[in-house]
Amino acid sequence: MVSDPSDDRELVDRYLAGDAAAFTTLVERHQARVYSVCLRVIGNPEDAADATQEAFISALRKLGQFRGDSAFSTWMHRVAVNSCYDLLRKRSRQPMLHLPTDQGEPERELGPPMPDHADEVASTRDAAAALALVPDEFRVALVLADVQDLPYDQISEILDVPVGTVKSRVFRGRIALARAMGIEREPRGRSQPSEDEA
Amino acid sequence: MNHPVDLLVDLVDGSISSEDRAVVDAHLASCATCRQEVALAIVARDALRSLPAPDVPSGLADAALAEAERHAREVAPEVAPLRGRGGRAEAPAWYRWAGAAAAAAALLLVVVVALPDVGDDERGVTAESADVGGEAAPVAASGLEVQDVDYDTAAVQALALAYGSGDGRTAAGAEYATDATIPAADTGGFGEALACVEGAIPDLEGSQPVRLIEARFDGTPAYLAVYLSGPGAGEPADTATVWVVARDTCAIVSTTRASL
Repeated sequence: MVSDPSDDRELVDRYLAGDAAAFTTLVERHQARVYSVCLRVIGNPEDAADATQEAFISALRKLGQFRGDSAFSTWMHRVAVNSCYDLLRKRSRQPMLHLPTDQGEPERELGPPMPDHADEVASTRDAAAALALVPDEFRVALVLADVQDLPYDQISEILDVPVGTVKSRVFRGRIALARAMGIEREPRGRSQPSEDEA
Repeated sequence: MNHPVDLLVDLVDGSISSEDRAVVDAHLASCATCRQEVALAIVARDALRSLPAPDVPSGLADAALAEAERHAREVAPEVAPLRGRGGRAEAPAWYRWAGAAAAAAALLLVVVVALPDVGDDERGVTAESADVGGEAAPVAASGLEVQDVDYDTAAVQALALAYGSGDGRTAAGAEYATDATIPAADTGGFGEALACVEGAIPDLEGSQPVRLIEARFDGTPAYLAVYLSGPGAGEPADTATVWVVARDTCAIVSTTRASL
């Protein structure tokens, strides 16, 4: 469901004026996106649900600071990403060792990176699990770009970094993900370019 | 060699201009590494974009919604209680909580009558060991205290009386308060506990507990919420009330109060 930014702004104003149902509507509009970000960034449903819960509590308490300069969905994504980072810091990424294999299936232990098969076609299950092996900053950018399908300028607003940095993180993240999926061995004799090369 | 990552991203995304495409093609013709990385990036992007949308669990924002309703009651008490989560009108608060209020009044009477006979040491915390854990300042609780403690009626009364006495803490119960209390950062449990307590207690009128404890009461998992109340009109609080609410049913199981 795509929410109308102007409607979201109105809902924020209504909530601040004392209409609790307005916040309920905001939650109903955005919780699927927030949970999706948290699930793909954090890696398991239980922690993703916790991060989503914290994101909405944080959003609720900061709604008075929402000025409407950016769309509410942009602002809410930023809150969600911060909630993910908080949870990852708090739990020292231990839960990342238990990764969902697919929707509704039991979790499995993540073993060592998959063996290299240059011609192997990756399954979606592998992509979800391999995301855990992508560095945090790259993973967050990847999720926003390729899971949430957000434009780079919006991701730039969410992460508060230049668009060029976003694109660099997405590119490096995609390569890291492909390698984590076991698509190919890292080329020898060349180090990874830094973001500055973007 | 300088690798045009920005343009390579556009190439992978299929959003590159024809002018930039010529630049990228020239670079790729002489850079095997970038050719390989572009191929990898396309595979990764396609894999991520084919991930199924996850099923969204229910209750993802329950704590925030409970807090929103409390805020709304404070800001506009005539609006919030009449709206359900789906926008459907609900029964007025006084009607929904009338039964609970009657039960609480009856229990309070039982507590007063039974007080001389309660305080069995073998059941758990007694009046002598009940810990109030802090000053009785009228500051809203911001965290849930989790105690591995079994309160009885006398211990609950001691909790209220301690606020009444003004000293705020008894030495006898300090050991479990320090060892078994989770810091205030446990906001997730706090929100759930608060929603449970607020759903049970009638006529709160936006007031918040100064202390919220998760423990047991006569062996039953329960929340103990301490509220301070007063005559209003800017006058200081003159009564401390401890509500005991069952965790599984969110129903009032006991209450007691003390004058400050």
